[in-house]
Amino acid sequence: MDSALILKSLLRALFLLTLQILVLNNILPSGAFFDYANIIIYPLLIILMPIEIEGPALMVIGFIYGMLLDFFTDSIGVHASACVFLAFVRPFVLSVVEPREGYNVNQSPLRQTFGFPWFFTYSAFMLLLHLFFYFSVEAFTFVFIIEILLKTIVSFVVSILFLQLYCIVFNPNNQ
Amino acid sequence: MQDLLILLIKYRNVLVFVILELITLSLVVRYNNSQREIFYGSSSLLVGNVYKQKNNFSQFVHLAEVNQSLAAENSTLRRLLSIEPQDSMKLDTFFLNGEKPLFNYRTAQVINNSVNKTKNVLTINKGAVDGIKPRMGVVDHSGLVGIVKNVGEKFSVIMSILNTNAIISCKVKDKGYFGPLSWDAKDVFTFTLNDVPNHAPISKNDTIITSGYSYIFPEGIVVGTVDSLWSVPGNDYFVIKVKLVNDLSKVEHVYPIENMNLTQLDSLKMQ
Repeated sequence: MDSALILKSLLRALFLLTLQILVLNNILPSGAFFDYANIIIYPLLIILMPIEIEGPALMVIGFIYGMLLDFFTDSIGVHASACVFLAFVRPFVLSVVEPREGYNVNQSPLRQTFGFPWFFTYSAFMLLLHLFFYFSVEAFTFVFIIEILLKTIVSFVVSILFLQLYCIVFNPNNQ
Repeated sequence: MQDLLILLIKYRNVLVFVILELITLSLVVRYNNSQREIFYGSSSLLVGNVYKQKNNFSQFVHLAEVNQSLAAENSTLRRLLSIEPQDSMKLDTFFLNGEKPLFNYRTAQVINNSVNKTKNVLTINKGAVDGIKPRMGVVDHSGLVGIVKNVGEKFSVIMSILNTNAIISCKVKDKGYFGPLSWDAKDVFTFTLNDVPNHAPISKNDTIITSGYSYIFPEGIVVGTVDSLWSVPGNDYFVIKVKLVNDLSKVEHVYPIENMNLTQLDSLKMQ
C-alpha cells in the first residue's frame, strides 16, 4: 500500500463521511414504505479498497471509520460494528463473485476493472450484508425482525441507486 | 506454545473480528443503557459546531414555515391569556410569594435530527452553560419531543420519543386511565399505550396527555389521539394505538422543561 493510495483513501473517507452526515442523513424520504428508507453509501470506502487489503488491517480501518461516523450520529458502536463485519465478510463476497480469470495482485474491485455487471453484483451483495447487520445491531433485538427486514430491503433499493450514481459521477479509482 | 501461536496466526481474521465486534457491541450495550454514557457524540463542541454550521444553511430554507408556526403559537398563547384567569390558572402555575414555579421553560433550536432509526436522537444548540440538565423533558409548540440525555458545554443530545428506549407515562384525558407510551419503531406518528384495563370507557379520537407521574413532563401536555384500540384475548389490558399530534421530522424550535423539584423528588423516591 503506497502513500498515494493512503492519501486517496483518507480523502475518500473524509468525503464519504461528509456526504453521509451532512447530505444523505438529512434526506428523509417519506410516504408508504419509504418511511423505512435510510440512504447509506458510506460503506463504499470498504467496498472499493484494493483486494490485497483484507483481514485485520481492513477490519481496523472499518472500526475507526465506523466510530468516526458514530460520533456524529450518536450511535456509538453501531456503524463501527457493521463496518467491521463488512470488512470481515469482504473476502467471502469477493470469492463468491470471482470472475473466471480470478483476481490479480494490485487489483481493485472497481467498475473500470471488471465492468458494470460485475461491480453491481459485488456492491449489491456488500451493501445488502452491511444494511442487514447495521439494522440488526441498531435495533439490538430480533423482536423487530419485520422492521429490520423492511428497513434493509427499502434502504437497499434506495441506497444502491445512490451508490451506483456516486460511482458513475465521481468515477473513483485507486491509482 | 508454538502450536498455539500457529493456531492464532491461522485464525487471526476470526480472532480480530471477534475482538472488534465485542468492543463495538459492548459500546452499543452501553449506549442502549443510555443513562451513564461515556461518550459525548454530538453534544461535544467539535461535532456540535459542525451541525451548527449545517443548520445555519438549512434554517434559511424553512424560515417561512417556522415563522408561521411561531405566529400560530403566539395566537394560541394570546387566546389563553384572554380566557378567564380561574379557567387557565392551574394549581401548578399558581405560586405564592417566594415560592418557585414547578416547571421552568427554556428555548432551544434543533440543529440535528433523525427519525428513521430505531433509536433516534436530536441535538440542540443549548448546553450546560444555558442551564440544560440531563433528564429534562423537551416539548415543541404542539407536543412532546424527547428527554435530555447528554449535556455538553454548549450542545445537548436529546433522546427523541421516536426511540425504543423512551417510555413516557401518559393518560387518557378526562378519564384518568394511565399507562406507558412507547414508539412502535414504524412511522413517525404511531405509538402504543399499554396497561390500560380493558373495562375503561375509551373510544377512538380520545385525547392522550402526559400524566406527570414521571417528573419529566408536566401534566397535561397533549401527546396524541387514540387511533385504534383492541384487547388481546386472555389479557385484561387494551392495546391502544396513538397517533402523535406533532411531526417530529419537522421540529425546529423546542422548549426544554426543568422540573424545579427534581432533586427533592428523587431523594424522596430513594428513601
